Amino acid sequence: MANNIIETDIDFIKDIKKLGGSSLKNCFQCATCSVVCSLSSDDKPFPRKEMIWAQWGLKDKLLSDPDVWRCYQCGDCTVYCPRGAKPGEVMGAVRNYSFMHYAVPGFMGKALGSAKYLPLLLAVPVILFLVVLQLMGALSAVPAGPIAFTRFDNYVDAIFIIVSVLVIIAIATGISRFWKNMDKNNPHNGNYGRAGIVNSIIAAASEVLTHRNFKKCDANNMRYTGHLAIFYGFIALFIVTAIVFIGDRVFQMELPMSQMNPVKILGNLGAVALILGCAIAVYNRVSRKKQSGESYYYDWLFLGILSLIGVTGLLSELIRLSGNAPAAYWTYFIHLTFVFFLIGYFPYSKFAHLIYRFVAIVYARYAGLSEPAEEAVSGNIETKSIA
Amino acid sequence: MNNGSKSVCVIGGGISGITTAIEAAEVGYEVYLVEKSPSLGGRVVQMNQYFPKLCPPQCGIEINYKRMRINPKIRYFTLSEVENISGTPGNFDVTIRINPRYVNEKCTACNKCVEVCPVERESDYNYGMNKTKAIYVPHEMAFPMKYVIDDKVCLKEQCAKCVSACTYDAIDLSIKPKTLNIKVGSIVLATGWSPYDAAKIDNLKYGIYKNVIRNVEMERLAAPNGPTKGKIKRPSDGKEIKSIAFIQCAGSRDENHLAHCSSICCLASMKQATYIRSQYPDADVSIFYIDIRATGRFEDFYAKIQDDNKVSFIKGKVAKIVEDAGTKDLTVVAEDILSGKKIHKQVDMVVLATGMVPNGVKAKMPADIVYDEFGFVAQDLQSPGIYAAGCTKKPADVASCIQDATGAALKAIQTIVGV
Amino acid sequence: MDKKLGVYICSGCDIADSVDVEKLTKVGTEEQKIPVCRIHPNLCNQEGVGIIKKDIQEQGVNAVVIGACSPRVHFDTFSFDPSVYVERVNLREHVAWSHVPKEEDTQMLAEDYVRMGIVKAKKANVPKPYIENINKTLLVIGGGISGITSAIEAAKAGYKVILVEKTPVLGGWMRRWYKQLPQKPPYKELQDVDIENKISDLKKYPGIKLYTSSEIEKISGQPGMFDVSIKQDGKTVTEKAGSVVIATGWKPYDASKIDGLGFGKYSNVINNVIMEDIAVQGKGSIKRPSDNKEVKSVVFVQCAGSRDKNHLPYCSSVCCLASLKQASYVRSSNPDAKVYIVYKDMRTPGQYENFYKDKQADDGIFLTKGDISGITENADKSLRVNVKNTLIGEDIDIDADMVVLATGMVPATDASILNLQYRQGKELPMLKYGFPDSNFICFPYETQRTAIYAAGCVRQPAESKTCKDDATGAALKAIQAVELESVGSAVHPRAGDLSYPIFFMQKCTSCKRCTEECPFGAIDEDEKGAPKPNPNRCRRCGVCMGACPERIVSFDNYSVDIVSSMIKSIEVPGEEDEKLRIIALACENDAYPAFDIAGVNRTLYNPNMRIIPVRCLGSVNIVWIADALSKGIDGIMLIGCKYGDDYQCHFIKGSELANKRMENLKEVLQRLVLEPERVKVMQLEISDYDRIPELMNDFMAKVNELGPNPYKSF
Repeated sequence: MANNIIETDIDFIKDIKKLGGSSLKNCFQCATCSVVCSLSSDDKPFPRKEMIWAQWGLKDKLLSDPDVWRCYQCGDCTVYCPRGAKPGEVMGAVRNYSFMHYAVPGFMGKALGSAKYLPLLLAVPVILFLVVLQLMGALSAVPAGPIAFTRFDNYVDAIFIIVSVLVIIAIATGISRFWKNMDKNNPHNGNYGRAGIVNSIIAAASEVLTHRNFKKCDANNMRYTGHLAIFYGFIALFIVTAIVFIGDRVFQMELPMSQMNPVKILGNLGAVALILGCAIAVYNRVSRKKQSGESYYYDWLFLGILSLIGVTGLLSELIRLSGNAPAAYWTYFIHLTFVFFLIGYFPYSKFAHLIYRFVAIVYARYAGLSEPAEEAVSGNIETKSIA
Repeated sequence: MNNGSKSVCVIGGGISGITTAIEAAEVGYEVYLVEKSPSLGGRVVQMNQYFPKLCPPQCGIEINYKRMRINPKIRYFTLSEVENISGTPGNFDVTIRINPRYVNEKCTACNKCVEVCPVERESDYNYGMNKTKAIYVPHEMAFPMKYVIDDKVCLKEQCAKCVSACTYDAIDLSIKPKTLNIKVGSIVLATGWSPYDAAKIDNLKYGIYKNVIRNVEMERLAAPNGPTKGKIKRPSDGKEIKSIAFIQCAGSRDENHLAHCSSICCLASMKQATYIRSQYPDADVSIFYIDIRATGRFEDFYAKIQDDNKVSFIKGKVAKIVEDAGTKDLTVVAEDILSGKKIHKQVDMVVLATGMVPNGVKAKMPADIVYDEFGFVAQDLQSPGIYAAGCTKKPADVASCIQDATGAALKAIQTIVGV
Repeated sequence: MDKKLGVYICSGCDIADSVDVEKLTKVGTEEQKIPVCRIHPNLCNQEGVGIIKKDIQEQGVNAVVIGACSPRVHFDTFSFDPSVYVERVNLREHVAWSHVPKEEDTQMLAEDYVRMGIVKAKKANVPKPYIENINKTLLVIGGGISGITSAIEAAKAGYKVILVEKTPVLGGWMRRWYKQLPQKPPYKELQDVDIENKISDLKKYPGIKLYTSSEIEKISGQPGMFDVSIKQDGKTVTEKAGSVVIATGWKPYDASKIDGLGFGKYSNVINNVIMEDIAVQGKGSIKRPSDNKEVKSVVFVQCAGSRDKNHLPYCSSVCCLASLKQASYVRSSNPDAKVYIVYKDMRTPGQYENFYKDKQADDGIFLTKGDISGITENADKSLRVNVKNTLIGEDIDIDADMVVLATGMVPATDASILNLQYRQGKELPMLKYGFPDSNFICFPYETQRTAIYAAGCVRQPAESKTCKDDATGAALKAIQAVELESVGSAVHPRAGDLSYPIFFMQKCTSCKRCTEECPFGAIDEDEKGAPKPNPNRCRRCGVCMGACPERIVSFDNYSVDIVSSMIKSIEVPGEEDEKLRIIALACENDAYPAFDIAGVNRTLYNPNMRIIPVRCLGSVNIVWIADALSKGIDGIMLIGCKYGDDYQCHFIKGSELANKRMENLKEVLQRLVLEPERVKVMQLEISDYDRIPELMNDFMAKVNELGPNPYKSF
C-alpha cells in the first residue's frame, strides 16, 4: 500500500518559529511533554506528536489537529522539556498560525500578525469614526447636557453593526473551513457523531465556562487566574453592553445608569476584573518567563488591546463622573477605537482563540476523539509548583 | 631543565587513575597516585558487575592491585587531596594534604576496634543504605586493607575505646593532617564522576518515594557485599520484586540537569535488568528510553537483553511517578511513542538511570584547567603538562576509560621524557 | 647457592587463638629440619621484619617462609633483597579467620599449609630473567589517523617508529572527508579536516621511518626482536622492531548485500563514503550521481547493515554523527534542500549530544525513528523511500533526489596484515566479527599476541577523536612492552614476573600439546615438531606446563615438581581416621582472593580442604591429580575463572583448557576404578566468596558419598 507522501514545509516551520515556536527544532521526541501535560489524553496524547509534525513542517496535520486547541499553554511541558524545545509555546504558535490561516480575507490575518500594520489597523476605526462624526456634524461641538456616551454611540452604532455582520460572516467561514479540515484529516472512528452536536456544544461550553481543564495546569496557575479574570470580566462587560444596547434602543432606558444599578455594578466589576486579569497576565509574561515562555508581538497585541479597553473604559467613566465633557468624550472615542480593534479584527487576532478553541472542543467531542485525561488519572498526581 | 622531575602525579585513584599510574610505572616511570578517599578503586569497586560480560569488577581490579603491589615505582596516598599545583610542564610543584587516617601501618585489620566502637555513620560505599562504625574498613576488598576513622563522627579522646581495644597500638587519635610537597614533571587528572543528585529531578520523586532508587544504589543492592547481601528487595518493605521500571536519561540529556549524554546508562540499566531477571525469574522489567545507546559491540548485549521476553523496551520517557500511599507501589507514566498512547505501569520499584557528573564541576583543581560547558576537562584546549583521563574527560564505560587512561600515561611520559 | 630456609610464624591477628603456633614451628624444626624457626606476635611490625632481616644478614637465610597473613597484604612489608626467596603461608585469612579455633582440623590445616610452604620454598628459586638485546622500535601498520597518531605519540616520547602504509599516501579515510566532526568544545561546528597537518607533523620526527605503498611480507621472531620484511614496490626491505601497533582501520560494509535498499541498483543510492567524495568533488556542492543535478532532498538511512543480525550485528558507532555531519553538507550546499534522517536510535554519546542538538536545529533537517520498508526508483531517477514505524504516527513515503546509506564499519582484518611466522597462525586471533580478541573490559589492549596491539577502528568502530585517544593508548602499550622485555619481565597481566618457562628438551616427545595450546602463540615448532619457545612472546601463564605430559616445562619458581611436592607433603589421615582430604587448585587471580575475602568476612568453611594457588587453571598438570589421588587425597577441586564467550580468564583460554583436560581425565580415572566425580572443575568469581561454604560442602558431601579414596591404604 502506498503511504502518504510526506510534504515537509520549511516556510511553515519558519512561520511557526516567528509566531512563538522558535525552539521547536530542539525536540528529540522523548514525550516528557505528553506525560507532564495534565490535559493530554491516554489514547491520543499531545504535544509530542504535534512537536514532530511541527519539526517536519506538516502544516495540514497541525491545522486540523483539535489537540492543539486543548492546550492552554500552562507551561508544564515547557518547564520539564529536557531539550528546551518549549512545546507549550510551539502549540501557541500553531494556534496563532491557525487564526491567520483560517482568516477570511487572508490578508487580514497577515496584517494582524505584524507590527508594521498596527498604525494602519488603528487608523481604520479612527478615520471611520472621524468621518462619521464629521458627517454628523458632531466633531465641531461637544454635546450639551449631561455626559452620556449613548449619544456618542448613536453616531457610530452603524459602523459597529456593519462590522459585526462582516465579522460574523468571516468567523462562520473560518469555522466552516476549520471544521472541514479537521473532519478531513482526523480518522473517523466508531464514536463519530455519537455524542450529537448539541451535547457536544453543551459539553464544550461547560468546559470553557468552568475553565475546568485550564485549571489542571500545574506549572503556571497564575496564568489560569489571569485568564479567568479576563474571561469573566470580558463576559460581564459583554452582557452589560448587550443590556445597554437593547435597553437603550428598545426600551429607551435612561442612561447613564445610576452607579447603584446592578447592571452598572456588573459593568464596573467586569472592568476591574478585566484590568486585573490583564495586569496578572502582563506580570506573568514579564517576570515568570520560565513558566510562561517567550511572548511575541501577537501575544502582546491582544493583551495590550484588552488592557487598553479596560483602562480607557474605566477612565471614560471616571472622567464622565468628573464632568469634563470634552475629555470624557475623547477618552470614550479612544475606548471605542480599541473596542473596534477587538471586535472588528476578532477573527484575525489572538482573540479568535475563543471561537477556534470552542469549535475544536466541540469537534473533538462530536468526532468521538479521546476525552481529556479523566480526573482519576490526573487528579491524583501530586503537583508541584516550579518556584 | 635540570631541576625538572621525571615523575608523574596522578590525581584520583579510580580505575582511570590506577590505570594511568600502573601503565606509566610499568614503562619505568615513578608515579605518585593521590586519592581522596581511604581506599583505591573509585566508583568501579562499588559496581556489582560490568557490562556486557557480567563479571565482577574486582577481578580486573585485583590484577591491578597486584601490579601495584609488586611495582616499587608507584607510591600512593589515600585520604589525600591536592592543595596546590604550581610550576611548569616538566617541573611542577604539587602540594598534597594527607588527612589523618588515625590508624597507622601497625593495623592488621583484625577488626577488634570495630567491635567496641559506639558510633555509627552512613556507609558511603553503600550510598548511605546501611551504616558502619566510626572506625571502619571501606569494604572487604579495600586496597589498602586498612581501617580508617571518620573524624566527622568519631568522639575522639572522649571515647577512645578503640585505642584500648587495639592490641597492636595501631590507633592514634592525635594524628594531624600532613602536607607533602612533591616535584613532578606532569600531572594526570582522573578525578572521575559522581552520580547525579536525582532529588533535583522533582517529577521523579527520588528521596520522596522510598521505592525510587538510582542505578548506583541498584549496584549495591545487587552486590554480594552490599547492604542486602546481594538480594534485591525493595526498600520500603523488603518485598521481592515482581516488576520494575528503569527510567533512562534521569537527569542526562536534559538541559535542566545534565545536558550531556552520560553514555553508559543504557547499558547499565540493561545490565541491572539481568540482576533482576536472574534473581526473579518471573519478574517483569520495563526500560523506558529516548534512544538506546549501545555503541559498538555493546549492541550484542542489547540484542541479548531484547531476547528476554520479560524485558520490554518502551520508547518514551517517564515524566511522572505516582505512589500508592498504602502499598508504596509505584505507577510510572510515559507515552509509548511507537504506539502513540500513554501507558500507566504499576511496578514495585523504579530505578533512575542517573548520569555522570564530572567531579571537576565542584572540586575544581588548583591549577589552570579548561573545562567544557558540562564540566569535563577540555583536553584539546588544555595546555600541555596536565592531562585528563577517563570520565574526567568524557562520560564513558570502563573499557573506554582504561584506553583513555593508558593514552594519558603516554602523554604524561612525553612531557617528562626530555626533562 | 645453597638454600637456607627460615620459617617465621606470626601469632598475631587471631592466629595464636586459632592454632597452636608452637606445634606449627615443630613442623619446621622437627619434620622439615629447618634450622631457623621463629614465632613473633606481630611479624609485620618493625621488630618482626627486623628479625627476619637480621637472619638474612647474619644467618644467611635466603629463603623465607612467612606463616602469617595472605600474600595479598603486606607485600611490601615482606620484601627483602631480590635474591631472597619469599614464600607466604596464609595462616590468617585461610586458617584463623575461616575455621573454628582450637579444633584439631584447624590445627591440621595450618600444619599442612606450613608444610606446603616449606616444601615450595625448598624447591623454588628466585627467577633468573631471560634478557636479550631488545630493539625498542615500534612497528605501526596502517597510515590512517590512528596509525599516524600512534607513530607521532611514540616519537614524542623518544621512540623510533616504522610506519607502514599500504597505499601511496598517508591519511587513510580522513583524507577523503570533506569536513570532520567537532574535536573540541562546544562540539557543535564542523571542522576542516586537518589530516594534512598531522602528516606534515609526522614528517618532522626523524625517528619515524615511513614506508608507503608497502605491506608486511612477514614478521618473525619475538617481541623485542622482531624481524620484519616489508614489501615495497616489489622489493623486500628488512627491519627490526620490538613491538607492533596494528591500525589498519576499516572498510565500509558492502551495502549491495542489503536487500531492498537499492545500492548498486539505483544510481542515486550511495553510501556515506561516496557522499564525502561528492562533497569534496563539488567543493561543498552536493550533486547526485545520475545527472549531476544539485540535490534538493536527501534521505539518510541509518544502520544500513549495522545492528542487523544478517549483516553487521554490532553498532558502527559513528554513522549517526556522520549522517548529521553530511546532512549539514546538503543544507550548506542548498539552503532550500531538505534532509531526512531515518534512524533506529540516535547515538551521539557524551558531549556529542551538543552536535546532535545543533544539527537538528536546522529547519531543513528532519529526523524520525523508523524502519525502511523499501526504496524504489522513480522515472526521473529520484527515489521513493517507504518508511514504517515512524514517530509521525503513520507510515510515510519520502521522495528524494538521493539516498545516502549510513553503512557501517568493517574491521580491516580480512586481508593478511601481520604475516606472523608463528606456529599458531599469521594474524591476530579474532574475538568476534573480525575484531581482535582482548580481555576487552579491564585490559582492552591485550591481544592474544604479546606486544602486538590494535588501535582505532580495527579494534572497535569509533570516530576520529576516539581513535586518536585509542592510538595513543596502544602506543603506550607497545612502548611498555619493549621496556618490560628489555629487563626480562613478562608483560601484562604478569608484568614484573621475571620467570619464564624453561623446556627440558631431552625428554620432549614432540607431542605438540604445548605449541597448540599456548593461548599466545608463543611456542613455535622445529621441523620435527619439537617446541621452540619464544620467552618474549610468553605471558607466563603456565598453560604449556599444564599441557605437557612429560613434565618438561618449568619456571624457576613454579613447576610440576614444586606443586607435586606440595601435594605430597600434605598429611593424609588413614582410612580409619574417617577424615577426608580435599585439595583445591585455585586460580591465584580470582579464586584465591575469594578465599581471602571469605576469611576477612570470617566465613567458616570446611577445614578438610587445602588450597594451592596456581597461576592459571590452564597450568594444572594432570600429574598433580594423579599424585594427589595416589597419595590418598579424596577429592580435587579445580577452581578457575569463567570461560566461554564472556570468558574472564586473564589468559583467555586457561580455565577452558583445564576443563577440557579434566574431561579427558575422566576416562583415565574410570580405568583406574576411581569415580570421575572425585575431580571437579568449578568456576568461581572473585566476588563469589559468599558461595564458598556451600560449594565446599556440596563437594564434600559428594566425596563423602563416594567414600574414602581406595588408594589411601596403598
